[in-house]
Amino acid sequence: MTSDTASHKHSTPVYAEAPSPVPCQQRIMLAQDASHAEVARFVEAMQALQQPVTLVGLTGRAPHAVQQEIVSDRASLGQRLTVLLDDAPLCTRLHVSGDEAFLWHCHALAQAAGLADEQIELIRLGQRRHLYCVHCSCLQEIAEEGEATCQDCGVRLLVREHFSRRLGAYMGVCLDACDPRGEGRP
Amino acid sequence: MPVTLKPVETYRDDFTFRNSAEAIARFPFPFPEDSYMYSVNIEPATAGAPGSVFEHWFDIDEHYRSEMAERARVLERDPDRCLVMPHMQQAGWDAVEMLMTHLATDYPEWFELERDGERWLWRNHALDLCQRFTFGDPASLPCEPLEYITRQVQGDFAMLDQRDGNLWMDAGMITCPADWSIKFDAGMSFTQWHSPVPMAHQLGVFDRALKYLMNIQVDQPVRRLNWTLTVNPRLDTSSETFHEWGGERAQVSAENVAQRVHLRVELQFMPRLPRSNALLFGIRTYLISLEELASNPAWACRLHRVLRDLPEAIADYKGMTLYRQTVVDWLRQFDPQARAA
Amino acid sequence: MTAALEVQVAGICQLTPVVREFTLVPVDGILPSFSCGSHVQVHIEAGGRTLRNAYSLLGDPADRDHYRIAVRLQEASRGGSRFMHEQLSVGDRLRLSPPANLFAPHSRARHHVLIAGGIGITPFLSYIAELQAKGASFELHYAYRAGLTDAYLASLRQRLGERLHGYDSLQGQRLDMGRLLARQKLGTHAYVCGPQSLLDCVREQAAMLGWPQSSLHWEAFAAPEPGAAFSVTLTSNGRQIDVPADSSLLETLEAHDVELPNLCRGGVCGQCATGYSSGEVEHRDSYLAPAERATTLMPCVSRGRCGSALTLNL
Repeated sequence: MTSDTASHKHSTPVYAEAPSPVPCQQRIMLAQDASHAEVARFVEAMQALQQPVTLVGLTGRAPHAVQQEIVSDRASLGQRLTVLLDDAPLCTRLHVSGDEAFLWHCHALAQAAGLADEQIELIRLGQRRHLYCVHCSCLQEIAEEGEATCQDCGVRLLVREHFSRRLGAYMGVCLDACDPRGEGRP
Repeated sequence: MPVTLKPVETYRDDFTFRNSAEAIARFPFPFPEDSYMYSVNIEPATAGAPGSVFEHWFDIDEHYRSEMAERARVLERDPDRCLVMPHMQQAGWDAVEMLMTHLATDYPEWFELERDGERWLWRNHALDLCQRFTFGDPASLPCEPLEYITRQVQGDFAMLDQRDGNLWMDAGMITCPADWSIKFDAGMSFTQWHSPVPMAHQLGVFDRALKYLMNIQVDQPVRRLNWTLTVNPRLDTSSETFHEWGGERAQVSAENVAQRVHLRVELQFMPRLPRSNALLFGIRTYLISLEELASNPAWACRLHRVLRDLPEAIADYKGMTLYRQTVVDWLRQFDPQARAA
Repeated sequence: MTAALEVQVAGICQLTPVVREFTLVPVDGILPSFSCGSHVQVHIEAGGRTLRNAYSLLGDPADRDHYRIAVRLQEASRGGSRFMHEQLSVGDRLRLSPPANLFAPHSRARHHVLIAGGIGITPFLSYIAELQAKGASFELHYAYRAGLTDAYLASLRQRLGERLHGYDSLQGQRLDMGRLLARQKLGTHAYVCGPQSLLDCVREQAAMLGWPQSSLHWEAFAAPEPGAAFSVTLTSNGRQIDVPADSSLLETLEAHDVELPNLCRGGVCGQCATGYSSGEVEHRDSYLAPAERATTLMPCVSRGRCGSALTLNL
């Protein structure tokens, strides 16, 4: 789940480990890689709930007898999602699997289409994530590292455990203000 | 007594900002006791003594022109410091009405408002502005309504949408924050944007504060004081510019500490915006150098004790670890007990 | 505590045999603006004590000259609605708490479904003014008994046309809640105001369908119901206070100058939550989680069991 709970006091998100077995009128799953074993596991669990499932993948194919389609790139995935959600019943659940940057890109599209946060389940796969440079607003991809150099303004950044769902990114802030670009202290 | 406005001073580069004796006398010293810990120090914002910073809802003081010039400079370089999400339009007009009405009533020598139905005329004599506009029609103002009015009022302003049992920072004019970023935090819930603050979550401070804030009624605003230290009288200590000012923390020495280090106090003021049901979160910042502050030895003595005994995690979060000892060493002269020891 | 507004009754209109509308104007100065869905507490001096009943503001929020409220005469009235119906006259003065909103429309909604039962229509009158002014998409479902609890029906019909769906219980017209909720599209928010049975019905159907909780909003029209007398002891000073059968614990505390923060006075907003250390409590609120009830109660609606003595952490 991605919603805040009373015990969860941080901006950093918590991701789904299995589809919530709640009633709904339909489920849609967006997969960055539909052939991933986790996607298969989720789809199976959803089918067991006897609710209609539509799978849309960016790459790969799920080895399941599920209604599925492959789109060519992120832009057409977004368009496809918009079409699927336009006129969709209120009790629609969306599942998204992929790296963190992909998850929050889809989350923003879904919210814009009217889905509530509690209707969206995110399944994080892989280590890639986005870093936002607070000094120049540049977004870049990183893995698990705690420090990085901004590829745009060159400031060496500390990756803070402060996450923006709107930007889908962690906050990067100057690591050493006495020597922002690591060129030696003045 | 009408407030006297100083000519423009600077909050950057040559830092010509200074407090007059009158400004020092009315400085909102934030410590009611000799130690500090997070608490839900929110109270009803009842009118304070004449001349005090609590007298009016929105305090205008001698630094008005300087602060508005500084805001204009920040926005020129970084226009995104003012942000209004589409569903916050009505809240923006609420803020226009609240700020203009209060300023015109409380400072008639500087601000005038004439209303004829939806046709309004606003005059700001301090900045020599005159604007006719149609209330509710954004095309009748030169910029976003929230931006238009907050370019003319001291302090930062966030507007919080109340929904789903939380408060969401969906709009704001933030050009003088104490080490945070509206561009990063926009769209976050109250719980999310406070996540970097140490210790307070464990104390349950934010849960109680959130409940309190969500139940603020129309015309029943609340306030609280918050504080930190800032090197140089710099208003824009935003995360966005941290790489430009953070290094000044390493420049504090025994020789310059009294002039360079400033106590930074935020008077946070939270009224309900009546038509939109959003909450206005005003953050009015006051700066005072240690030298100015020590003109009141009781304050200097108390600040000595607070800073000496401040828990490490809070000192770290407030960014004063590098120079805290230098400050404490200088303040010790004002603490009779410490001197005797 | 919060300052009260002084108002004067400027007009009274009998809308149905059991519903009266009051127009209130300020004694001096101006009234605060309000957002749609807001309510005020009316301080009613009846039978030698002060009741504070919450009523929705039903005027257009854009109209700043007066407030309007509508009051249904309750059969099991503890004196509040009876006073409003039988004693309050034009020219009389009243004290109000400032507007508060526990039932605001959701800022992200694309379509609003308003569901009213009887006097539960009142908060939606301000909704409709605001939603129409904004050009927002909405529909109103109004269940009533013709000639008794159908206040404002004719004017709503004229104003809303096909957006109004009326259900007259006398004619056996029923609102099929399951169907209504099932046909809603993404981005819809539903708002319910009316008797407990209506709220329960909506909540049950919504849960069965899997409606997101954040898309369902309700306002209970819960005045505290009388019970048996009991007594409380305050931990701080050992004071013992007797709570009569027809007063709520909150009202009794206020009568003894113990002020607690409160907004809804109906067991919903959570403001007056108070800890207790001993005694048997009859919980009547819809705010506290079951686990919290072992140590906390809501004095606006909940009571000690008959003859029980409670120790309050006050």
